[in-house]
Amino acid sequence: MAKLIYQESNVEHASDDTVLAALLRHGVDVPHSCKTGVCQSCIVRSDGKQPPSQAQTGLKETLAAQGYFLACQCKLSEVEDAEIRVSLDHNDALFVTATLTAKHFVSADVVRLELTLESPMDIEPGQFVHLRRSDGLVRSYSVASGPGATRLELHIGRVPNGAMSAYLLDELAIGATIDCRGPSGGCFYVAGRPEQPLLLVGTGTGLAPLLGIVRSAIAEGHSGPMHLFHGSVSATGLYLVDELRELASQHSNLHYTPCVDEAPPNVLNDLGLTLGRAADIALEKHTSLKGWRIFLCGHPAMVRSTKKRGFLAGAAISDIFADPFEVSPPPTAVSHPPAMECS
Amino acid sequence: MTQSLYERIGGEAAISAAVDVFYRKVLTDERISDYFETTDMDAQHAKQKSFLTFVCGGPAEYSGKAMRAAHAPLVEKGLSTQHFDAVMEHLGGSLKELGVDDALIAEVAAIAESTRSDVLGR
Repeated sequence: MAKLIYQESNVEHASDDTVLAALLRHGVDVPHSCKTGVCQSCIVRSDGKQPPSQAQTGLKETLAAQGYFLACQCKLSEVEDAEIRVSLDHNDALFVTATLTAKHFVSADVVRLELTLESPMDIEPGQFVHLRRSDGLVRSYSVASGPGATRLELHIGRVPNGAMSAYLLDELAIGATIDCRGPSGGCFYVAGRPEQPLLLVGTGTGLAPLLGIVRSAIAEGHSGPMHLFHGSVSATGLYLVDELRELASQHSNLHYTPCVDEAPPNVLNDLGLTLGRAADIALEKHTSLKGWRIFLCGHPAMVRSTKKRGFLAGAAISDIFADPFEVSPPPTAVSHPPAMECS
Repeated sequence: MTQSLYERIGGEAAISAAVDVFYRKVLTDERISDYFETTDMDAQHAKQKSFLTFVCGGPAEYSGKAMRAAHAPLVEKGLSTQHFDAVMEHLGGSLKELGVDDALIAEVAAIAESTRSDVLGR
């Protein structure tokens, strides 16, 4: 019988207990509702070891890969390891110090930062980290760098009246430090099904997580086609065009299409851009998405509508991963988490 | 031991397969799609799954009171018999598409039918 550990203490339990039942009896206030594995209210995370797979039924694979499971569906008698450590404080990881080690403007209003972490963080490219300025201001930015790095690549777009983006673009200098916590978010590449076609659509700095996901997929040996569509209002909003073309030339299964809403014909020709919204171009080109995996990052309205269109074009809901970049609202407005300054 | 309806349908795996088919049908049916429009497709999808689990006799708790409360704003917007009928049609259609036999579909339809008065607030 496995031991159940919560906050470093051993939780007593009966032989037929679920993790949920044992924690509740122990006085832990675990959110829960249906207790049948449907409502998913009682989601908790196993620290270290993978929980039994039947306790992850119905969860998105990105969550399952992180060790999340449903406490009500996890019978302690079915845990094969000697112990299971359970945490409710998913996002309560400590901040680590990050030092700015490189900074390049990749367009007029987008800067590419390289932050070197004081200690490694278990980040899946495409997830986001939370940066905290010395005065306590916190904003979230997606990770563009590939797997296993202590150096994080972030793309920061200038947000009108955005306090953190102005600070990161204009003030933070090489050698300066900033606190970093993370990671969060379920929009990342999970190994398996390497032949599956991938559709990746991003606007603005939504390119950052998509680039992280592409790098991750390449590192995992993804063999299916990967179609990356990056959109911006005008040509000045696109960035890393040459680098992405270079990457696509090195990997024959990577296809990159930079799109702009408007541009004079000579600019379209000279730069080889496609006219139209990235999501429209992507869905016109790929009309049947049955069996595809889809990643959508950037403008929330684009993410929402494309999620629906992708689903209606045949993709399974569990195969659609989205990261809407919600701009931190003015104090009176209400937002859904994660509140993100367009990263 | 006799298998439950839920088990005979194919359990969780069958429901998972059915929910995408069903949700796609209701979203593309202009008679009812407005009632299913949402900003959070994952949450809506989870509700559909819960509903399908229940009507297939699976482990989902059903509360008539909660069902009434959840649908009251939609009833205000005009949700009525013909919309419920359309959902019933797609429920049957989805299961048929997945190869569930007619006798089982009839059992499922009977359970779904039992939610009618709660959904329509009658």
